[in-house]
Amino acid sequence: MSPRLRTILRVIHRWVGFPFGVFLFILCFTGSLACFGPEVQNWMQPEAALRPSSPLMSQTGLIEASHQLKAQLDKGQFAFLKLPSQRDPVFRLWHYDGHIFRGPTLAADTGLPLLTSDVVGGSFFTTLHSSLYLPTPWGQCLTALAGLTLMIALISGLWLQLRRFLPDLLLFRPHAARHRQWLDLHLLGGTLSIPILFIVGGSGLVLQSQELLHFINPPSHTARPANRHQAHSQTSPPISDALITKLAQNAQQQWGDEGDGFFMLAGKELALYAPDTLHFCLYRQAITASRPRLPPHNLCPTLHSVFLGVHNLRWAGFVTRCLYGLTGLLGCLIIGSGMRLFLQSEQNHLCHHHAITYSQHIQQRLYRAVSMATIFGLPLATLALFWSTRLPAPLPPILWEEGLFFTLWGVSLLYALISRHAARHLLMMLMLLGLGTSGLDLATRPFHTGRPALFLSVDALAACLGGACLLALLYHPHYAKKRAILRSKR
Amino acid sequence: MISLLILLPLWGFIGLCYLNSLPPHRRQNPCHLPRSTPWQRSCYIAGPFIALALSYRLAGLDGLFLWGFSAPLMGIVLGITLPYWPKKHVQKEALSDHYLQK
Repeated sequence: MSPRLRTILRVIHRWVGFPFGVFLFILCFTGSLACFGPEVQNWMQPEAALRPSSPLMSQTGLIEASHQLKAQLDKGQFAFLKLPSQRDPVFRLWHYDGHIFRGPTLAADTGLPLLTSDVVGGSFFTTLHSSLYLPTPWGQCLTALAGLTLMIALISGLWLQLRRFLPDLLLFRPHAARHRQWLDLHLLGGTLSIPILFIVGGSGLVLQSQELLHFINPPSHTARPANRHQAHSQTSPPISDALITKLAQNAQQQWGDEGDGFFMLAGKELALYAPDTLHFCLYRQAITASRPRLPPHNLCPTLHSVFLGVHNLRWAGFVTRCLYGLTGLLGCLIIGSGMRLFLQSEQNHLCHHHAITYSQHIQQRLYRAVSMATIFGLPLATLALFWSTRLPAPLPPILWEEGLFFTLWGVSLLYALISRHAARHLLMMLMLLGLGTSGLDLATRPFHTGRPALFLSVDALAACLGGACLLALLYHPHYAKKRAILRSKR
Repeated sequence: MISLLILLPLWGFIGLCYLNSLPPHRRQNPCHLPRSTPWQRSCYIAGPFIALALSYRLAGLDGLFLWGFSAPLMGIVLGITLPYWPKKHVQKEALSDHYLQK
């Protein structure tokens, strides 16, 4: 490769990677959490984390829950009734509020509302992942652009590393200089996970582009579930106990005891939609009173459904989903190390100048602040969100939780802009929140719960994050210097 | 879960075989296998395909994704932990390689 081409590729990789790395870090982080939406929802609502019963719901529970659904529809609210599943063993009478799914939680055996507070739940991270909580179509535009830049960064990075791709595939030198360590880590993660990043990033890009195309050129048909968030007609369809029982029995015959389907209005009649976990290709199939059997199953009817299957992985087993989540966190590590390398090289570049201008100084500080707010601020805001769902809220719960998340994230950016010690302080806060999550969890939920493994896993993950921050603080230059002074005094 | 338990050591073995096949000056990460042989080389070339077929056989479509996700994770674990393994063997091995080359 000629030096000129190498320079061009480096410039593209750095200047495409850094600004959009911020968004890509958010997408990877929230994508990892979105893999475990029902589990996050259950952690935030410990009263709903019950042991899945067998069968998953009772007849009485289903009838009572359908009465609640009818009451909501009669009030003019477009709600749907999500059936219990192994991952979320309660009825959810949800409606979409423009950002997240929310609504009462009903017991699987009685169908009566459980005493749970309304929380943002797992769908908060799904929305943040798909549209960054921005209004349509700006969020979709931004995420599609981030996906495109991911492809550019991957191709330019691969091209740069092509000659040493195989010989240096597992190369990591922890005893080298700090910059080399980070570069090795970036290359180790990047080269090993490049096929997955291409597949996941590419499928996400295609899905967002399709959404944007639908926004620009909406499909002509109107009686499809696609427009379920639109206001429905004032007259709700007849929902009798017999109809509900018949649909539930039909569903059980056709897709077994899987659960996780949902009752929703489709056109002018009530439909029972098959669970997303049923097939690899995700597409909405429903049975109604007039169409009691699912249409014959094509392997994958559209390209869109294939990409949904590849990107969402709702059909996959628990272990695969865990590894998918870990891969998302690995993406965060690659992007975070890339940002660290960018900052270091910019700083080195400035060191060669005799005098640094004020604008250069501000620019450098801005890069640092943005990186810190992304790498430390986002996990901090996420942990604070988890805490806020368990602590008393001074405002309506969802407003308070969303407000706290975005305020804390914004404050971490501002703080990183004005303080030199922001990294240390943000790490300290992350450590405190991470290590304290287990205590908070035990103090704010009943000790005996139906799903102890769920709470243990979330607490352990938070504790790992806190532990990692503690280690980072111990090796922070500030404390390392202090330790060296103490040692020399002795 | 069983597929993952089979896949992880398999990827680890493939990684070690790959490292062993590198020339000594490239082999920054220590590796404790005996000196590279054609058998080891064919192992790391055929290994991924065998793992793919095995995981598909054991877990179907889920297995294919498990195969894809477990490879980078195991590679990173190997890459990060190997430099911290005791160096005694490595020096001996590097020396013997160097001697054999001469």
